[in-house]
Amino acid sequence: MWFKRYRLLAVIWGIALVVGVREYRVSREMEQPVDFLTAEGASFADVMSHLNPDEPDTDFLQGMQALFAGDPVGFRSRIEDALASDIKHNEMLLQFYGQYLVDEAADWREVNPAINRWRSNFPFSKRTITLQFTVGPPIANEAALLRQALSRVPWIADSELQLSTVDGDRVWSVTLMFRRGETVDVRQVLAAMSSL
Amino acid sequence: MFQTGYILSRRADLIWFLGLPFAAVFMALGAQRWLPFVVVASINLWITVPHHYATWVRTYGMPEDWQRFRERLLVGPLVIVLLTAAGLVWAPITLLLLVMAWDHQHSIMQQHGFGRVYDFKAGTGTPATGRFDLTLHWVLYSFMFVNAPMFRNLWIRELYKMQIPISAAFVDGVLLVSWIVLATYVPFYLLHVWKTVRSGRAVNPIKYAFIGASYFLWYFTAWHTNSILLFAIAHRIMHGVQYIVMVHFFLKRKASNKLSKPGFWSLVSGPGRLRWFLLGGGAYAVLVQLLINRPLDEFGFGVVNFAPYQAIPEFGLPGLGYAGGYELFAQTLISAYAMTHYYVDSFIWKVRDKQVQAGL
Repeated sequence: MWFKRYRLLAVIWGIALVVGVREYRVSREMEQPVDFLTAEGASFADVMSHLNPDEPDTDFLQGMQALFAGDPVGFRSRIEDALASDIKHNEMLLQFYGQYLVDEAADWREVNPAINRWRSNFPFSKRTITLQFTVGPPIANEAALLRQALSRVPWIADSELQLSTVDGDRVWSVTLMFRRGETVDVRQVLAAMSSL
Repeated sequence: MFQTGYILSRRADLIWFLGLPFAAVFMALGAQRWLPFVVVASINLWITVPHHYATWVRTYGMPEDWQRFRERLLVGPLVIVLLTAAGLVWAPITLLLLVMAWDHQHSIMQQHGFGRVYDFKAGTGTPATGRFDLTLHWVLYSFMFVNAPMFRNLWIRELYKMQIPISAAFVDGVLLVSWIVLATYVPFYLLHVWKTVRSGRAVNPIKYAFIGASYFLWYFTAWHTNSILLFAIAHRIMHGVQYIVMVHFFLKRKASNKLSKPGFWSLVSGPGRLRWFLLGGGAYAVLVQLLINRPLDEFGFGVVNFAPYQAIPEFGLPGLGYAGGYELFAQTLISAYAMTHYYVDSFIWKVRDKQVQAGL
């Protein structure tokens, strides 16, 4: 009687217990979770390439493997294949591609659509984009001036600034948080940075 | 041989149970074409969350069901909340998988349940038909889950996360088994239908049209794999709307035959109360959204964004992010309440007012 009444819950509990114990043990043995976008995801990418060769998610996995193998051309080609299929659901792909283009100092005509595509599909995302700028000699109230200039950009909700020295050059890292519903134009950040 | 029977009526079934899956696919295709991915969250708010409300109205709001299922209605949520909390702490991936797996099982059971209603209403099938139908659902749905590229990606990825790295050859083997099961069971099921007819009992063609429409939606969207969005939207529309319709008509009939004890359910549902039933579902969704501290513009299909609070550098005011914006919203509410209190008090307490004097 009791089991009949709670049969479904008991089965659910049982399955969850078996799978949960497995997960708990695995998580204790691993230093960090499996990252499918690094070299350790190669095996998964191979399986998916065999099973789902024409899928945009597979293109993304293959693109990431190409990137880790030092093949940026292969990466671009795969990602562009994925984007050509009008993929909308893979936030990691959309955000990563925007960040990649920024890191590669791609032209704003490429960067803007990539970031706007990500932001329009995931307007509530907490993910950020980081830009780096090499600047000249220090000036008074540099950080405050920079923060003020960035606050004038309508699509920036907030920003974090970090100054470091790379090969003797002073480099500002600007992490940007986005305001939803606003169109991103990276040229406005470039203009703000050039105000220093 | 055939005996038709409807859950609601010929016209209503045509709209909600037979036509809706096709309409849902068209809506999902439109969303895929013209709307951003955030539309999935919007559909969730407009349909999925209110369909939970329909459950609460029937269970916790209806004395009849509350009396019958009280123990399970108290123990069940307690166990589930404990299970969820434990999962969040010790095995979050398992919790996620559990929610997804149960969602799939629940989807199968809902369509199976409607199929049972069709047989009940038409007086068709044999006592064994329910089990044959349920197995058919499991075979068809599992076949989709194993074979559709969108789902394949999901379960293989989760196995890898659990450190169970399966090979492509192993997956090919699983796919082959799924084909064998399908190819074996479908003729077996048809044999059951044939035997049913041979024994002088009838079958309800509307039930099969309903099952066909449901699987059209699932199979079409699951294989349309460029986007999870398509499956997510079409499935949510079909599952949620059909459930809300079913609960509404169930409560309406219960109210009409006046055999059930009145309660919260009879205040918010029944004949002439559809708008209150729907408004209740909408209000519940707003409440849930506020409770989990998610933006209300998620209701807006990605085309509505509440005006952001812009920076005013001239005054040294920075723009506000979501958290800051929510604090501003909360502060605005508090201020608005206070000012409304000031305003109302300015005219309801006039001592020269005869009606006020009467209360003093």
